[in-house]
Amino acid sequence: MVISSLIVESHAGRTAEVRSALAGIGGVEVHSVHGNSIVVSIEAASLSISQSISAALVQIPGVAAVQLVYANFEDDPQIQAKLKGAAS
Amino acid sequence: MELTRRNFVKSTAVAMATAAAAGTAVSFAGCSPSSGGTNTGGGGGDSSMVADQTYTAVCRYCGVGCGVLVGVKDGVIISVEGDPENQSNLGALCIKGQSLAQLLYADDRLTVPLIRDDKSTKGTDGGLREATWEEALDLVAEKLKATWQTDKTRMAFWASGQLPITDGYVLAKFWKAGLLSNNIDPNARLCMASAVVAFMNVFSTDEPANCYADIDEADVFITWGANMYEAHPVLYQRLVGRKNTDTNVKHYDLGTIKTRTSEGAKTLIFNPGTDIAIANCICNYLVANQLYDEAFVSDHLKFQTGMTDLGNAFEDGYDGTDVIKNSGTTAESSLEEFASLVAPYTFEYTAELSGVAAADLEELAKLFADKSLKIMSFWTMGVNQHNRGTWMNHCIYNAHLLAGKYAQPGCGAFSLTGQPTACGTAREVGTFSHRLPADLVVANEAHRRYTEAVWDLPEGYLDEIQANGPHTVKIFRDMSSGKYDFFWSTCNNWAVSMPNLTRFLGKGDKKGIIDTFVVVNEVYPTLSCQYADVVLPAAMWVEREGQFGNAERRTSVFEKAVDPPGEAKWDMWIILQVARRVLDGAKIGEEDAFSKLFGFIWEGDDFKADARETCKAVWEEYRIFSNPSMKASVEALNTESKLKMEAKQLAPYDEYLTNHGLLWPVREVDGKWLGTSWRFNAGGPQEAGYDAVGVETYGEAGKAGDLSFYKTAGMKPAVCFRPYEPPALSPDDEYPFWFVTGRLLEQWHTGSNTTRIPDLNNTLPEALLYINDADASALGIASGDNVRVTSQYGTFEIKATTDKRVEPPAGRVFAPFFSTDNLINLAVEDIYCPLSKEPDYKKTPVKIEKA
Amino acid sequence: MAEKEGFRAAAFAAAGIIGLQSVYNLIADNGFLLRPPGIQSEEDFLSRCTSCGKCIEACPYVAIQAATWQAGIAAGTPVIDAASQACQLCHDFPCVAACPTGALRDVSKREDVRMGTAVIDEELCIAISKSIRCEVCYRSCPLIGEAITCEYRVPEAGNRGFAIFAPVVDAEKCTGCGICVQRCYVRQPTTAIRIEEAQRNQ
Repeated sequence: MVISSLIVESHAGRTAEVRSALAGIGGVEVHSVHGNSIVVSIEAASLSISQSISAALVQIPGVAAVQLVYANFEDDPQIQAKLKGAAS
Repeated sequence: MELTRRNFVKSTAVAMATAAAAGTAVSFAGCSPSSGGTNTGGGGGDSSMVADQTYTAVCRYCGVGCGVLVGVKDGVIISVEGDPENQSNLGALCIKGQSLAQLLYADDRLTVPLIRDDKSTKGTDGGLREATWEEALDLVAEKLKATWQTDKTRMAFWASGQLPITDGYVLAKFWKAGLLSNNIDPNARLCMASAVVAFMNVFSTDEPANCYADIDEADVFITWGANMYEAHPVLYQRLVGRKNTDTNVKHYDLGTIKTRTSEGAKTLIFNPGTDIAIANCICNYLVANQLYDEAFVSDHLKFQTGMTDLGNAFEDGYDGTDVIKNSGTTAESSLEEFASLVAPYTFEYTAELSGVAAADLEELAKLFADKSLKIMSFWTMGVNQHNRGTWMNHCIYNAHLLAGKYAQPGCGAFSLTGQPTACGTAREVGTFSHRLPADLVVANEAHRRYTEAVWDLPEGYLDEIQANGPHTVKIFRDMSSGKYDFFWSTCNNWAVSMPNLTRFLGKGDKKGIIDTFVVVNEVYPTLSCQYADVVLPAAMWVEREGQFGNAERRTSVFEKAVDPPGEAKWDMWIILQVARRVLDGAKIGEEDAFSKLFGFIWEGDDFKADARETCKAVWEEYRIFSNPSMKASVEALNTESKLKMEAKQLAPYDEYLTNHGLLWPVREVDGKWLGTSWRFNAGGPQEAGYDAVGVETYGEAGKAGDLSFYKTAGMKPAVCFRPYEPPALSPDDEYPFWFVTGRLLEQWHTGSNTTRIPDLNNTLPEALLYINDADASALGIASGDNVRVTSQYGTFEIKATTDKRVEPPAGRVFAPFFSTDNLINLAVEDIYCPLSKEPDYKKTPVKIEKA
Repeated sequence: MAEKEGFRAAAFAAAGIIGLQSVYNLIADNGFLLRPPGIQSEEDFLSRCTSCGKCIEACPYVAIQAATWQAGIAAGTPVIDAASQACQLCHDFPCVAACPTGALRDVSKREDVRMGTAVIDEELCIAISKSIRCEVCYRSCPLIGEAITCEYRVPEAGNRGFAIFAPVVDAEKCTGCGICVQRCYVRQPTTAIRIEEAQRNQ
């Protein structure tokens, strides 16, 4: 799995609305809310799927910004394949 | 990605994002550590609470017998501290004593009688159902009575050196006088029997002549196979205190393995079993060079030889052989003959045999030759749990007696006790298969007459029990072979502490334990309960009033401080409830047997009076044994048979409460009751702790050292030559290691109590096998690996360590026996000393493999 | 290694429960975090650790946990709460072997380890302050007699003639594994022995 965490910044007064929308997206988990900042994690089978999910977050009504904090992508299938190829 | 690592990575990811979002990315949260949890450890309770009431008591654990003060609030123990007025410890404690406040309160306390309906569930943790006391007592009594009336060789009681004195006394009276049976033996058979038999052989009286205060004056300490640092913590604190106040004080540690006791001592590591040779070597030095105390030898000693080539109890039939039947026989000898018998034990020969350097042996021997040196020898299980344990006790006495170093302030041979009241109860009250109270024995006619007089029994009544009963190992061997129908135990955990558990727990082909009707009085569900047909919930420690007698002859009372939980009852109540049912209809002479024996404390269905008055009443009767003047018929026999029963004189009960314990013999002088620090020593007044009254009444003044061994046959202790004979089994190609078992400070015995106290258990939660670095590496074992230990008796698994809390030399390993998970006694041999019948827990050959 | 797997499975189940409480104990008043063996210095460690979690996975005792957000910039990095589960100083150092970045490195034997230094609070310690026979820290120390010794002190006048068995830490030898903390008999308000920043000169 590719695992990453992000902060989704909402416009003032729209945090609850954004939070509900996030909760409904597959692979996304809401962890906590700090003022206008919502901490989420994304778990996806590959890096490209993870990137398309995070790109979609920006489109949610009421979202002002999305910041990637942490990503662990060493288990991405393409990267794994490259590593194996390099090793042989 | 593994599920577990995925969780971690995700939590890390989230943590970092949260940190950023919470605006703490550049500074620490500044959380201070909270105290966390609601445990009340680290000091035995919440010190912010103030006790309503404080009671005096004695620690529940080792033979040091530290006095404690128990603080109670709202019916619950909230604190335990050392009792500064108890002279045995003067307020000192180890963490076991410190944690006593939590002892009674683990979640799984037994509070209701339990009955097993299906024997096939024995050995599992199920199969027991709740019952009323009535059902349980009726059942136990029915089974006991049936066996008693049909064939009373098929019943046994396994008593304890942890059972309070009054309970032990009542039990002994019930079993010996009520049931007329010697089928009663205590767990002290596994711990002090060798010491007891040697005391009786050498001195005709049990228990040491010295006391703890002698530690404060000694010049030399010798620990003989005794890990005092771990097993007698507070006493060792006093010993080290003495070492520290005078740089000339020496300590020699003799052992087969290096322990924490070896730290700060000159350590002499010897080959297992050769301790006898080392003691004989010292004696040889003394006699060959005429460096023994001539006046002492001339005034006080007689010489003997004993039976040798005794073999070992490999087979069940060993007890029936002539060898063992005659094993106690002695013949008169002389100093000259003794000298010729110890002559082979030169420094060279002994060094070769024992592995101890000749120069070290010589150094040790020279200490005994130095008349000015006060030497205190201490020993416990290394010497007693030994296939020639009685002999080894003899040999230590031989060295001390020849050197004139006994029963003097700061100077003597001190047999340490392992349990809190092996002295006070098992030995002094006589719950042994060959004993009666107060050093009397069943085989002695005058002793039986005396006991009959105290107990108001018809003359000759006890002749039926003049033959010794079976000892512990014999009981368990026979039980496993199907020869017992009824077995009852209290205050012990035989399923963990007996040796050769593979046999006795029915794991081999001898499954007698399954069929025997087993009754266990217990406080917590132990492994022994898993083999019981009935479990009776007992009141524990200060939930009842009781008394303990510790290693230095100090009898102390522990007051009842709180009520027992649920329906738990004190052992005396349980014993008497069964007794009145079993003896129903039985007569002694013309009288009802039960009333005759116990009518003074019991009526109908309960005690006549409260715990304090009951204990006092029992005590007053027990005290007659050592205060014959209390009863004319008893006094007459004491005089006629020259029994000198006042040698162990006990005081009135209240004196023990007022004084926070007293050392017997206790003498009434000018209206005050005074204890005795040095038995047989008339070198000062009774007020100063000398045995002035005893010597004046029965002894002779003006002898060497101002001593008079007035209780000893001929007033002369026996120096009996005992040769070195090897251990029963020795390592070979198949089983190349010596397996030594023992104890460590934090966990007491089988751990049934100490594992249940969280803060105490946490200090040593796991039993480990201590193994030498070189041995571990040769076996391909890394420290922390699980290993399998196997002997010809059985096998167990345990984690191995090369950590050096215990440092065995190559070819030896050590483990403590507190863990039911490991059950090390599955592999330990059950071969015993022919004289004492005490098994050797210290020398089983084993093999070790990575598990 | 079946034994160790079983241990870990059980420990993981428990970790969730103890984790919440022990979080607070992870951070000392002075901000010190107890790191796995193989750490060279906190600065060096933070510059290399990527919070990959491999040391956490490798520890057979589940002694290593990921620091939570309270640790601020160190959130997600491996830390040990010695009071609940100390580093057991495995002779083969699986955590060090697993570390891909060298944040944990350069230990071949136990004596090389410098996670921190044990410090005894002499007032809380019942062996020192109350002359009670304890010294559990001494007996549980994997480097018994070297990292922790038992010093027999002459008691002050009036202390019954019983020696004080005082545990003493040798900062030069102490690995900071924390086993002494885990085993300390005193638990309230904290353990009487705690791990603080390593004092030894490298």
